[in-house]
Amino acid sequence: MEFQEAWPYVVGVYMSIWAVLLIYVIVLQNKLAAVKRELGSLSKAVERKG
Amino acid sequence: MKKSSLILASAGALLLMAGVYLAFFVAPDTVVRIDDRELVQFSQKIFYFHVPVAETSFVFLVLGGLFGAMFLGTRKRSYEQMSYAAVEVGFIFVLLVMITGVLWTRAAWNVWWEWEPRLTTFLVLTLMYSGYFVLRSSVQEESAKARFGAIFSIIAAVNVPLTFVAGRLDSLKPVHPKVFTLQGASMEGPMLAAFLVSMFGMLLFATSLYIMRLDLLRAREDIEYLKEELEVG
Repeated sequence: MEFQEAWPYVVGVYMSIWAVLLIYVIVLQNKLAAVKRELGSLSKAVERKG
Repeated sequence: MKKSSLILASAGALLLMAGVYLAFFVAPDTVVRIDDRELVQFSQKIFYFHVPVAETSFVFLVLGGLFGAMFLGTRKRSYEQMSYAAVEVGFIFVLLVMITGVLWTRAAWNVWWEWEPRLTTFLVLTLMYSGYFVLRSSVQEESAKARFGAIFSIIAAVNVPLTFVAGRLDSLKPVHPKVFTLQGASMEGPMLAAFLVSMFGMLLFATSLYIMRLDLLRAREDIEYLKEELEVG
């Protein structure tokens, strides 16, 4: 398959790799931020209780 | 984001970009001769992304099985977390192998799927690891979830060498290309360089994802601990 026919597949491969990896990074970062917020508020609650 | 995972992710992304440059502008094109006509096989460029993704998935799935075995041997919770994080990151790359593989199959063989040994065994691997997540989500009790998950991660990791060998047994009539053999790599210097740069970049990026996932698991464990402290107090 020459360039004319093959390029959509080659670009598709490259874009799909980056799309999946970036979505995973964003999901992980969002979850980490939420968990750290919860961790912070729980730590304060534990401190208040002594 | 932790500093270590940020550095690894940045280094990985830079190497992956360098890999793209090397693959498209430095590595020579693969040319096939058909009826006195020379045809440039542009779809071969997929090799520089598909194979590193596949090798990375294998590395993390094997690590998942190893950490699972270490958990079963020591019962240390940290090994179970490491196993789970490695399997999850490995599975992301498994999905990428399926996506990129299907596109390459269409571009190179003009079909979307071929029931040949390497593709079939990799499909079995994908289904087994899908089962790993179903199993974990179906068990409520934490210690049982960890134990079953660890056992399953070891069993599923056996698929990695099976998939690897299936594409090399001539008796199974594989049509999947074999680039690396015991005689060495069937690639020229610039092609090998492009491949190695992409491979190393992919491994670094995957390691940064693994660190992030492990951080998340550990932070969740801390939350459970603090909740228990509050309830006891």
